Amino acid sequence: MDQPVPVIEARGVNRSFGAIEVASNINFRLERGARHALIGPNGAGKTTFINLLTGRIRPSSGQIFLHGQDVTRLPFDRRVKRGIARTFQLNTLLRNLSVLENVQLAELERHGSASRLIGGAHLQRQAAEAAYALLEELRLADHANAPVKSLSYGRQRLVEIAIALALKPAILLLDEPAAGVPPTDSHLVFDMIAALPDDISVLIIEHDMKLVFRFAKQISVLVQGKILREGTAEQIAADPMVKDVYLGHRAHA
Amino acid sequence: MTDTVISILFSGAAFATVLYLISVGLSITMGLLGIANLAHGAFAMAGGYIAFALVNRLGVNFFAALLVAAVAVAAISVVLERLIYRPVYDAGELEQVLLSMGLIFASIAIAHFAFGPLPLAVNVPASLQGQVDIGWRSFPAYRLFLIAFGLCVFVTLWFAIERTALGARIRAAVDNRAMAEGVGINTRVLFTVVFALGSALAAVGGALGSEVVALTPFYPLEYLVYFLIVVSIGGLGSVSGPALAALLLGFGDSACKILIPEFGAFFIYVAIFLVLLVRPNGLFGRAQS
Repeated sequence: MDQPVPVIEARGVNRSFGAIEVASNINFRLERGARHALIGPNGAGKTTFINLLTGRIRPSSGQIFLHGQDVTRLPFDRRVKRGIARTFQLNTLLRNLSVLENVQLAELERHGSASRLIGGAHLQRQAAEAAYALLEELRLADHANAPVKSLSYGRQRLVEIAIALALKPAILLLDEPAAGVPPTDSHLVFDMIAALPDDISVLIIEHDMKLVFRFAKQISVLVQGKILREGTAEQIAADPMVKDVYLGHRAHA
Repeated sequence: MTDTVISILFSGAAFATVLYLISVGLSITMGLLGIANLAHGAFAMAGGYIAFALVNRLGVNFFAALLVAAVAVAAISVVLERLIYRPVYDAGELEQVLLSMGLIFASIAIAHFAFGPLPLAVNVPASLQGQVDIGWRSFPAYRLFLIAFGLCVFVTLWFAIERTALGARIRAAVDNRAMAEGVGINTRVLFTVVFALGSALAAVGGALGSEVVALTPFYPLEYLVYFLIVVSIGGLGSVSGPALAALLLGFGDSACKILIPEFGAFFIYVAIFLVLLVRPNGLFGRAQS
């Protein structure tokens, strides 16, 4: 059977920290244009898995493929250059820089190769213009010149997504984009995610089941470093085992 | 009275320039990767001795010798960075301190073997000898040159950090390394480049400054406290912080030595002690954590 090449794929990935196995024989495919959610209880290894995909952590064994190419030994920034972008679970913006500068930096990185370490004013201006255009598109232009740290937490999360989008990624990994955002602001994050271009393949880690079911077509359930179930949103919602392990667990929590 | 004040300011500025040239690279490398490289002063000493050997023994042109010293020390530092520092990036601070202390002692032994224990200074070129009369008072030409050189370096660095793509990458990586990598910045190459530039500047500082701060084998240990003061007061990962800190330290040090020589640098240390009690991240720091 001829399957399309997934944009990102994990094959038999294992990773342990000492005696603790945080990823156990994970096989995972993110298809082109996917809206895929990764759910699971706290400590299931979701963020670790994202770190394995991006190269912040190396697997103990197994392989990671980007667009069908083995990238298992490639560091994080090199994978970014190949079209992968992520946000972090904890806000990790350049807090002392302005919103525009944060996005501009990503633009600059996308255009400038590593050999052009000293970009001229021309390159800088181009990047600033592109960054501003993106901020306008995302309705963040009003805050362009404000230092990131002066923004509300919800808007900071939006800036993180804006930075990731400035990289024009083929793959976007969102690690709990709505975590810590007050309910009054969470619709901003939801709307931005819903409006993401179709050609970007998205993998999202999220605890908010409303967002997961509104957004995801495919869901993988990760428990103790293992993929327990995988299926469409409807299948997962109806799965008694998932309800027991994850949704039930959440209901008690 | 005015004369004393002018003397204090002038010799303070000259000392501050040397401190700045040597310490600014340390500030930025520590801000970038959090490496406690106590051996940074060894690069300054190496630059000084290389220039001394070229100028005083081989008769090479002073400025050519400066350039050679900078390039040679940058090359040495890149080799050390790859072979010796890289393995301890993720180790604890104790490992880094012990490693760099080991490098200090090794450099002391090498310097002692090659150049002996006596204080040495690079010969000042004829064009910079003597006094320059600037109207109401004359100053040593070499020290004027030194201060002007320091100013040029400061302006160049400020421009490079604030206005170029390389600077933007450095600021980003100092602020948040994971995020910088997340937008595709190759922080390993960036760090090697910064490490080399910082070491080259230290080498220039050691060579240019030998007239103010004489070269001895114990140089990296003797002045370590001064470099660390500049970095800790100036804040990590900054270009202008260390400049202000170096000036404060330079003026304070020369005021103490001229006005109350019997106390030495006692008041300077007390002042720094108090500053760091109140502002543990320094007065002008960029890095937050």
